[in-house]
Amino acid sequence: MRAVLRLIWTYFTATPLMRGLVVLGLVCAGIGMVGYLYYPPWTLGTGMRGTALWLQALILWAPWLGLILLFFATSLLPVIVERLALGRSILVLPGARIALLVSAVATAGLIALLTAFTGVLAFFYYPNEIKPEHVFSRILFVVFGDVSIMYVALWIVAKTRGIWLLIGSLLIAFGIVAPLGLIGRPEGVPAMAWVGIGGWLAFATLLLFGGRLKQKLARSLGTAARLARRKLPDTAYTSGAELDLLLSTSRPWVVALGQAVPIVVTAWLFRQAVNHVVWLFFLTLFTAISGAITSTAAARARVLWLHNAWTRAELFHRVEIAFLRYNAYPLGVLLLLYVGIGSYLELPTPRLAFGVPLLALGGVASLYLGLMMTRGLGWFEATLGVVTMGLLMTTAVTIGGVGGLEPLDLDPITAIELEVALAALALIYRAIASTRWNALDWMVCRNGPAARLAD
Amino acid sequence: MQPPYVVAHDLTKAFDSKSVLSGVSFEVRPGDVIGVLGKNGAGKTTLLELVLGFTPPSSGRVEILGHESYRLPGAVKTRVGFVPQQDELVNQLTAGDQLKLIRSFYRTWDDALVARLVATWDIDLRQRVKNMSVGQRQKLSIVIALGHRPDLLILDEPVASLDPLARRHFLEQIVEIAADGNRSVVLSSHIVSDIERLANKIWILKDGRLHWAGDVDDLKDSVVRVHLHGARLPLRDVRIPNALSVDYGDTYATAIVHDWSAALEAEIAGLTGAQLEVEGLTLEDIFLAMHR
Repeated sequence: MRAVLRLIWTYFTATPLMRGLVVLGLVCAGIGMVGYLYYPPWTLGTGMRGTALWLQALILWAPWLGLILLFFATSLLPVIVERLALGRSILVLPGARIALLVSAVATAGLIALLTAFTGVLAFFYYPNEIKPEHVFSRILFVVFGDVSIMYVALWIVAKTRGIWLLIGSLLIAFGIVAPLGLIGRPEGVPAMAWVGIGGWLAFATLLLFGGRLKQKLARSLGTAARLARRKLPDTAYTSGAELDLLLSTSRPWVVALGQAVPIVVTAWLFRQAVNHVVWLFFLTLFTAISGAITSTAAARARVLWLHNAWTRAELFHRVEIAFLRYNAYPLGVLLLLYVGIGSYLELPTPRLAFGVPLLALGGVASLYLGLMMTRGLGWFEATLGVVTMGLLMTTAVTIGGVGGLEPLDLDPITAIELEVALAALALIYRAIASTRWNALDWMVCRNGPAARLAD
Repeated sequence: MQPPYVVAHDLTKAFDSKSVLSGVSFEVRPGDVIGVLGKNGAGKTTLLELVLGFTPPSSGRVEILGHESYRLPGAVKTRVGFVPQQDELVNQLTAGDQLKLIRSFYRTWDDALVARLVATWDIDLRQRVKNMSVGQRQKLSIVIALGHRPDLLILDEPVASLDPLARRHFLEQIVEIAADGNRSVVLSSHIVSDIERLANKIWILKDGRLHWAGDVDDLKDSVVRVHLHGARLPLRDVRIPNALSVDYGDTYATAIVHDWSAALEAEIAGLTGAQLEVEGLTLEDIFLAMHR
């Protein structure tokens, strides 16, 4: 019990920043809750007639802001839990795995409980007939699931680099907004809660039985693995392909097939329900993977530079070619899938035709965006990442058409303008990447911001 | 006589088809300070991890304090301390918070001992772990492992990152722990001189087997350097029994032999007709000779 409490305390107070967030969060939540009781904002005036609108707004939002701050105060939870769970020392700490699991679930539960309590206060004077206990249980479930998902997103942000950092951030943004739409429907336990509970069960299984499961799995798969090793080449290395080996570009089919599986599964599951514009949007997102892969190129290239008599400019040229060749495989598969799915969904030919260069340009722009990340992901790179994603999404929506399938809806000039802008962006990124590689400093590029964040 | 803390019988560990350890048996008794030596890849870390129950043996059995190590109950874990090869500290925390976190898992935590070690090793408790040097982190890991005064302390290359002064303090601390005769320490290290200074028993791993297990003094009495000169025969023509290595000169030879005894001395003298001069070896010399 002492260990559980200490762990929860640690999650909330790991750093001075976190401690500051806790204090600020509690102050905001406290002020807001008192405000809800004595100056209920929903009634817009029964308790605050004549009060300034800004004050009413402050009381309305303060507790929610406080709760968000409290959640972010625990944002190191995933990293701390991972560090402890994956270490070997946990195996000789008495009761540590149970304590770790209970503390993590309890932290998510504590935030959900506080939010649910705040929700009851907020809706207490709300002019409708929803019973407070329904409000409480609904918010409790939704927020518990949401917080659980957000911890996964925070872990992605802390442990990954490049575009994945952006995707994790977007997931967090989604996690903050999503509950608002779910809490308003008072029937049943929402899917988000089940996702959260399922996630914790999976985590518990891995944490408590992971070692034994691994042993059993290894035993049962051992024969198959040995057979596979005999049949398949044991290494990605073939003589003459040293550059690809060191850059990790020797197995392009892994990424190509890796992205094909979720796309094909999703296509099958949602074959009736999903509009083609969503498909273009979805596939365009996959082009960002190029950026995620190439963002590690600079750090990986150091060993190439050491072992070869290349200048930094020559190094960039060779790395660029290697990654263009490597990314051609996943892009090719993506284009084939796009044409296949587009044909199946009877996407009008002009839209289909404009979608092909969009995907290609998305892949190229992401590739060069990744290559220019020679100093990790700073504000400049993050801003360019958001701009690129925004442009890609805008172009996807423009080409796919928001509502209809009619080919006449498509404004070809706008589509061309957007795609030219994407091409220009790719060229600019290439120029920046080339310049940066000419002055590459491996002391700077070794540790990305995600690594710093994880620290 | 107290029962042994660790009993291992016919331990074997293989990863896929690669055997790392085979047929290893040993005991760790209260008061033992055991140094584990071996080349890189000899299986030292695997052996320690088997003892701690981090991984199950492919065959054989290890017990700590009467319990199968792979299924250690919490009560036994409170009597075991471990320092991993690479520290497992949480980067985000301060050293002080890290200590408080680990302290919360134990009912028996010696605050006075921890305070003394922290002061001796000059650990800044307000410093964040991520800002600490490798050596400082290692010191903190050792303090954490010692804090609950474990009966059995297992250390996997604990001194690799320590400066000579800290190493000296560490060795003194280990000696102090083992001094009451009720605690045991098992440590692996590549610094053979430290093991020689510290350990009263040695395990030498070679090719996945326990090549030698016994008292340090017994080992040093058993393996000696013998200088042979004034021989009747050309020494190159004579096979010297129990020789780990032999260096030949024109009229003399120097051999390192194991299982040294008066009978062996007489046998070699009889075979060669040479005069023998016996010289003791350091543990490092013995280790090197065993791996020639």
